[in-house]
Amino acid sequence: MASNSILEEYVEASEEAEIAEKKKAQKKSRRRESAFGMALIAPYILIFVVFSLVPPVLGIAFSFMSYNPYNTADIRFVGFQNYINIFNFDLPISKSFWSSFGTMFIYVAIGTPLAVIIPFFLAYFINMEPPGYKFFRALIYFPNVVSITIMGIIFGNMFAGDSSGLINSWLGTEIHWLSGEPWKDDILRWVVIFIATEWWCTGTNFIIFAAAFRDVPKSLYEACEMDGGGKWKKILHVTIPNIKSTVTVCLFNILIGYLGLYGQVIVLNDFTNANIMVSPTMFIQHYLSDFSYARITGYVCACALMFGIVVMFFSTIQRKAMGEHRTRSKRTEDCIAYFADRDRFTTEASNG
Amino acid sequence: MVKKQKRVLSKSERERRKNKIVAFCVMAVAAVFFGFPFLYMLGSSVKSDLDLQLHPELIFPSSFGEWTFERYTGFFMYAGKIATLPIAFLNSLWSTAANVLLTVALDLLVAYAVIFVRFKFKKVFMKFLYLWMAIPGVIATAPMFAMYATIKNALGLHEGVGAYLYIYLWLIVPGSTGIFNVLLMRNMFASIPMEIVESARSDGASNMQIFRRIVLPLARSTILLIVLFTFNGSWNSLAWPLLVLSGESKTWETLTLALTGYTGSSNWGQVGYSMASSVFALIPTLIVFLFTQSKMIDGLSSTGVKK
Amino acid sequence: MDNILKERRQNAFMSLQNLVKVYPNGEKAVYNFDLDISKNEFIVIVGPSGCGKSTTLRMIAGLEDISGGDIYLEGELLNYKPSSERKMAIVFQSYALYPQMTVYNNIAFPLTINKYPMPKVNAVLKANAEIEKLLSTVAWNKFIGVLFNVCNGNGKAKDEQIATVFNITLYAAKLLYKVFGAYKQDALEVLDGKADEISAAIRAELNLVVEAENAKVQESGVKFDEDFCEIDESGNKIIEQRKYTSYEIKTRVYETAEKLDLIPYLDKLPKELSGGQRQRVALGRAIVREPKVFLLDEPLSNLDAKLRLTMRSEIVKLHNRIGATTIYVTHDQTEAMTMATRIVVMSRGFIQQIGTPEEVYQDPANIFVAKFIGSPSMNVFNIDYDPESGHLERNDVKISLKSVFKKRHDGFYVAAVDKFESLQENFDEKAREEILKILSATGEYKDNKKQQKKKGLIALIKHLIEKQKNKNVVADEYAYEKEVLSEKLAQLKTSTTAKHGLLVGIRPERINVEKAVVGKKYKDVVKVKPTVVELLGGEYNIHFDLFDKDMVCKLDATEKVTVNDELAVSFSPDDLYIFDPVTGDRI
Repeated sequence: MASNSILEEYVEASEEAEIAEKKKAQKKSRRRESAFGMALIAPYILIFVVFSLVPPVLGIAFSFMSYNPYNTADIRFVGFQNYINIFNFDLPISKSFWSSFGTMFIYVAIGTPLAVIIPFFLAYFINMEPPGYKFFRALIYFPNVVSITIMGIIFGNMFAGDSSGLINSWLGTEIHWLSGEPWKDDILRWVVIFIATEWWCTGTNFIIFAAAFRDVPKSLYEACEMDGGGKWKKILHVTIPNIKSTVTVCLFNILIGYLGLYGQVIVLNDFTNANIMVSPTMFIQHYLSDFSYARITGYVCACALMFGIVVMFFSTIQRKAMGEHRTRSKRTEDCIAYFADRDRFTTEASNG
Repeated sequence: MVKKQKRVLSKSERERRKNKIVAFCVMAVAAVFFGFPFLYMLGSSVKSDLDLQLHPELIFPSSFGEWTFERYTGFFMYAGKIATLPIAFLNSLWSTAANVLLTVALDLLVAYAVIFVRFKFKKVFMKFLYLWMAIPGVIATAPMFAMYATIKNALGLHEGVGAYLYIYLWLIVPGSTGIFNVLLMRNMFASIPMEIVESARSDGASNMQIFRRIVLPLARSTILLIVLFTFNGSWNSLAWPLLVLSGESKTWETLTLALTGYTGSSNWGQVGYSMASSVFALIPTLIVFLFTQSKMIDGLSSTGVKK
Repeated sequence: MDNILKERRQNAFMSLQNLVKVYPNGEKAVYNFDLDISKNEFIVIVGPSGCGKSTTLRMIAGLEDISGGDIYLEGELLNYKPSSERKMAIVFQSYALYPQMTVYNNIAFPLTINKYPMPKVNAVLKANAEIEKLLSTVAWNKFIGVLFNVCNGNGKAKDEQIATVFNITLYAAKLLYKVFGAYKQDALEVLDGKADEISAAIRAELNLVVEAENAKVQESGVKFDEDFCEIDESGNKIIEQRKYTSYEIKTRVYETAEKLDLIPYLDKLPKELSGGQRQRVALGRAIVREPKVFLLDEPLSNLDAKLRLTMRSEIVKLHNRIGATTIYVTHDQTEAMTMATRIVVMSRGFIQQIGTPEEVYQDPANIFVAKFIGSPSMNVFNIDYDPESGHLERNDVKISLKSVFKKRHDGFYVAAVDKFESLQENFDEKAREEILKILSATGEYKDNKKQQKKKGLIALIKHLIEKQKNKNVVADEYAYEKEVLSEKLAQLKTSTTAKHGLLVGIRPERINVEKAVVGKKYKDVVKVKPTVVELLGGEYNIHFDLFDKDMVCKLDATEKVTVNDELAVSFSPDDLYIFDPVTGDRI
């Protein structure tokens, strides 16, 4: 008997050991899997950290320094001096920085509505599937994949300032479309910029809106028809609410893109004209690329940070404004009260 | 064939037909607006210099004798030497290809890890990516350039192959970690039924086999989409190359950058040449677009909303 | 013929006369849908998918153009009316709720955007009568007590509350509230004593407006009936088109919500609701308009099985309560059997049978109906009929039929041959449809006519060349149908006298079946082995193979049956449904 129980104990012990070993093996394989997973994302993380994460952090650091990438001896900590300089409007450089925001705001204020409305209507019509709609769709989208410099070449020559320009030769005029001075006689250049932007940027939103239109359930239109809604009621109560979320997302992308206005002001400028329009992105690029301004890199980083904050501010406002608002309705309460009231007279009267 | 009876159109059919006609008219107007600049570009590139001066109002050459193609042949040799444009073209080509490859490879690795491999910090990683999307990229440009310049200066890379490779490293690599692409790929992988992968695993397939035999074939269209988006972005990027390549040799420039010399209204002598250059630069984009436009449009339709 | 149609249109509540639907591509979806519906009926149109039932419903609703035939509702032609003016409401399979609106707004939507015809009521005179009635019939202390409580309560819209409490018009309530405003601060006991003063004040206020109104009325010479609705010379109420007031909308939506148990969800958005709740909202949006006809397009097919069961009874209950005429479309024969007062069975655009659930089940007109209705469906098998002996026989199974059958059989075939011959003599579009109808019943498909649209340029060119080639050859449009006709006619002719095959059906519950006991001798019985035995609680569904067909029968689960047992199966001739395989019709 005794030997039996010892045997049992032995068996039990060995079983336990086996289970423990299995657990260990499982743990090990888990660890190995975990390491494998991390190894897979390691290259991405490495590149991401070096080229996406470190720069903004360094940017914050640089903005408190006088930094010159070409002369490391010149680097020192200056505290808030760069920021003080930004808000010192007597400095011509700060003045030009802040005035560049004006250019950007004009562009956003006029360009954003255009970038929604025009694609919206084009998408509305393409969804009626006129003959050849696939061709039209491709054609409207194609400018989107053309590079901005080519856009600049085409539109620059179309709107060339002397009689050699296509538009001028058609009109028989010699209008200087692209050489106005910013903030003075610049309206014509803005017109060209918006025409060119519409040509270049309509495609993406047009395609996205068209898909959104297509995805509105057909039965909703039919339900609205049964309920007595006409053409406009259908657009108001069915189309718009159903594509609203798409429009919101597009609007966000447009806003972010347009706040970073850069290419258009460079490529749409008469070659004889020194009075270039300056947007914030343009401002930052200009002072970075110019070797003679290398010593104020810290200041430029501070400007970039200020600009980033403005962008974030506007995108947040846009997101909040377009987000879902629900005014809490209290119909359930009201309804319960209604039925209480309806029976009130009879019950109270019988009680009294 | 027995001749078909002509049916009287019902009210809604008439309505639909009317709508189609209106839509066609609108689209025709739009087509003129969106198509005309291309015609103008093409026409101007084959007009002779005389025609460019005397007949700026015409889209195409005024007479048969005024057609010229010498600007196209003039790309490759310029005053006996290889012109800069073909070199810029090659620069753009290899850097774009490298960017596309790197992007797709990184996205595939990350998406596979996130969806099919259990590892620590997975959730933190994804959450971080989501949050990071809200931070505008403009903040990074200035300090990134400062980093680039400082390291370049410190290493003394001012000329030669080293400098060229260093510059192109900074052109290719930073753009390869776009978060939107990662999420696109991740969502695609997430839509693969887990059961398929699990059953493959229980059949004894290794990660590499699962990836190559199951995941990759299913992810083909998403990969193509990312390739297209990345290709367009990289081929057409202007701001960052302009910064990094400022002050460098003309032969190091990318094509898009090289063309900035012709932007805006150019003087008479240059119109034809700049237009021909544009046509030349547009060829790869056009080829890619023609072959993939329906894929691209479908992809944009389905993913653009989630962007 | 025309007279009959006219009569039908006057007598029936709703008359659907020979509805035809042809799609723009020339495809015919509905053939001669002909049906009269009387008030309060619950009609279910049932058929497999693609049989044209939804198209029919959508034609009735006005969502689809009518290619031929007329729809009359209470004698009024509806064909050219927009769907919103047809006094019908539809519930879609996908519910079609407006995603951005709360449940309340969804239900209220049809009321808010439309004008509705309503009798013109003189608000002042009606208010006068209502208040007078209140003051004279209700005890003062009760009246003033309730009024006091409401006015000093914390409700927001007091006038609306008063209107609700006393069940009077909003105008009258406003007047009461205005007068009572002067006494609001007084204590209830004080008010109790001021009965004369307050009622005098109310009456004075009333008199003021009533006198002015009376003068106006006399000037214009308008007449009223006892409900203060304006009437014309012949005594009919004058109907005006107007929108509902917000108070009217509110009360109607609340009443509807109560009927459907939706009160707790009024503030929710559709995406926050479950399928069943969404379904109820969709129903609510339909009934709030008080339409004359309800149209339901597969409303339950998006719900899970259990919910479908409860919603089914819910809809029947609702129908019993509000009694509106309903047309319900479904592919589920169980729904049809349980809900309908009359069933319309459709297949491939043709009505196969119209009848009550009992009729359709007990007395199917043709083989299609017999197979489609009933679950598990009817067992149908081929068997040879010997006209001389009057037996049905196959292999060694013999079923003897009554002598009446022979007479019926002969009569049927003589009539059929006659009909076919007359069709053949004068083959036109009508005859063609007759043939197509027969094909739809027997379930033979005409695939050869279906042209597949090939894509690509080469296919297009090929098609054009083909067309050019065939241009000179005058093809007969009816070639296929004519061929079918002659084929069928030949079959029918041989069937009249010679031994031929018949289709015989029997309902699973009508098969006499028992567990065969070893050693016992059976007469006129087939012994079979079950292939599958399904226990459904109280009974078995037993599958077995007979005549190369899988057959199902039902057996009470009093004793255990397994696949190893042997069953004794027999058919009683009275329970057999006998169909002609050529035309699919019942003999």
